[in-house]
Amino acid sequence: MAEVTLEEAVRKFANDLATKVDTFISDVSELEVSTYTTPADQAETFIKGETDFSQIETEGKLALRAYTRISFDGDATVWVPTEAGGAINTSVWELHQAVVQQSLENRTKMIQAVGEAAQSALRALGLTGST
Amino acid sequence: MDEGRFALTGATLTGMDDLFGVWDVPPAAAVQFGAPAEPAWRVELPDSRAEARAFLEQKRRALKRGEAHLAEAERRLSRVAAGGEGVSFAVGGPEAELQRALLAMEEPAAYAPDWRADADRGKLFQRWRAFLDEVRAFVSRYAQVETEMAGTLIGRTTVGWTGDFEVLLGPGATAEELALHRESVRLALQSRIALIRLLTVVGTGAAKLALRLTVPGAQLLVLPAAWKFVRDVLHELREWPGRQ
Repeated sequence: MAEVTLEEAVRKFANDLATKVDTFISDVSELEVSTYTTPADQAETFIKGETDFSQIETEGKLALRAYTRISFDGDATVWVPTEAGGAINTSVWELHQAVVQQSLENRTKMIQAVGEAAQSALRALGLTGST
Repeated sequence: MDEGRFALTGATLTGMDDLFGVWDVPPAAAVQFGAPAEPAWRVELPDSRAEARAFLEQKRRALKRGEAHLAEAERRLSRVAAGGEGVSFAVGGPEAELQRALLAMEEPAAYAPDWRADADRGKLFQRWRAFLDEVRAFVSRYAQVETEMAGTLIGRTTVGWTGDFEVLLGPGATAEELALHRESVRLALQSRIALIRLLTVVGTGAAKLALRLTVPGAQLLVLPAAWKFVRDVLHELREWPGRQ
């Protein structure tokens, strides 16, 4: 019957989102942003196909240039890119900082959107109020 | 101006091929076996920076317009759910179609064929189910955005479910080009959020519509009709923007 399979689909959707919200609660306490560069002679590797960052990094084709980990208990770890003389590479650093800000904004919006979608799916299942 | 391209691969979205006018989604038949399991946006920018900026600005406006259209669809759905006062039930319009679907759900079986057995409605149920499954998979995975300009990679960003970012800077990419990549990422992620919001509008609207119905399980049964309504309104507003 169509309505049974539909209910299953909605239930699966709601369950998955609920699981995701759970994941958020456990994982949201930390945010990581990694910025890599690659030498020009390796660029072709990345033009077509998927990037497996961990594998490529292990193989030495990528260089981790900046890294930020923010723990929402107040700790933050930041690796700042420097040139050979010890000066900060400002172009990479500015880009990295902008990405950190972008990731924070994206996370906030995703939490809100997923929470609302899960709530509406639960409403459709009649498991919460309808307003 | 040579044309840019904002293509989504690794995902099909049934009935939403031109979501908010931002993505080019390959038709389901074109999805090849072995395609990337993760959704990936491939942004091919025009060769000149000025044209690339204009291309992304055009996509940004399309997304903003799509978000406004979704908000309008939400308002119109609420008005139908509230009883339809002041609602235009123009023949063939989204409101009339929805009203017809709601009435069909309430008609006694003795006077009307089983609406669930109706071929069109059966197809709508299947499409809604497929869409729900696709969105569930779509939002559960990593998202990858890569930006190319003149055939050269300028940036690739992988975004994890909880928001962790890994960014690969293309060799030799300038600060301005990297800013273009960042804007590509923002548009991709924002359009994904808009898609999730569309589901919220459908679910919330269906719950309100169900209050008007006496058929058991109405809040579930009305979901496909609510989804169709939202799609129809989005389509109408895109084709006839003056109606908003």
